[in-house]
Amino acid sequence: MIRRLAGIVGTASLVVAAAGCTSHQANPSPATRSGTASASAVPLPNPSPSNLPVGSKVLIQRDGSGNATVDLTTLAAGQNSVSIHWVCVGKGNLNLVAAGKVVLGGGCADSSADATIDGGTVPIATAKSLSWQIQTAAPNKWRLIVTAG
Amino acid sequence: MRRAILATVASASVMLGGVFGIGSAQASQVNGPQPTVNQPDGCPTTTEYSVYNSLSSFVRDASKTVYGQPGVTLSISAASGTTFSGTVGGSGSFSIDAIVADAKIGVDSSITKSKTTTVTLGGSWTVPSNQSLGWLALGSQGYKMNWSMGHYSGTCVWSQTGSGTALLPALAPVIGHS
Repeated sequence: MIRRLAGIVGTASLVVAAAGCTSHQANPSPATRSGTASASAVPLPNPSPSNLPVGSKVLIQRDGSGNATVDLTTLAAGQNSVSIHWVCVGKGNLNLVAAGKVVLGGGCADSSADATIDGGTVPIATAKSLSWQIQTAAPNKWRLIVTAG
Repeated sequence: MRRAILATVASASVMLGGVFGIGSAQASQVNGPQPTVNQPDGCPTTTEYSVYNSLSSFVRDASKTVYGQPGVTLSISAASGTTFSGTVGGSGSFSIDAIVADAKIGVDSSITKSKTTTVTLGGSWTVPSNQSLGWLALGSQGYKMNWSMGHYSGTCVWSQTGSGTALLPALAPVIGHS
């Protein structure tokens, strides 16, 4: 059975903004580190969401390519949830894996101009581990930002 | 069960069992008397495509999909100008453009190979506990269909050279979820 719902339904929200209104906020100077290789030459979009809640704290922001580790165990201490947003350019998917299971992930776009900003908010209470593995093909370029609050 | 959030109300029709592209006249030639008698000019031997068993479906692009465990609130944002595509798979050396062209004629004239957003589209959705891995994606209401290709010999014997499945968008881009 296929169900199609129009408009805003249940727990889902839909945002349609006018063209040209995409916000590219300046990030509040988070610590920036590189992954296994620098992707600074790749003009990836800023993954920071335009509707970042006031008071949000940027825990980490990273550029990289291929596999990497993001350990939020200390950084996210005392938080109820963490939000991660990323863009990925390349082939296949980018997965965020904790304790051997995919917590969230998404497809990588063919080009930075065509990349979507993917993201997810993970409740700390249900997270088995906050030491996440970024798993994606070696040539894939990514940029992510983790926020809390 | 699949759900899709639609920015616009889709009224796509469901078509089952229709065979398009190969006309009944040609089909009767296959089963008819000796073609050398009844078809003195023979049959055209050019490659022909047909699409059939089309079904209204939400069509998403795997590269514009985010997924996660239950309890995770997924989000996705696509800037204006983002292009997403349907998928066409199968056997043989086939032409996607020819399949799309046939689907436009036989299923829905709005069907296309890809769609481009004209506004920024975004959405968020929390994966419910009854889904092991839910997804949220940029896509559009479109069609899932089977396709086949082949050609007639000069003596009007049909030879199938490829077949497969196509998922093609038709309506405006929207954000949908599992």
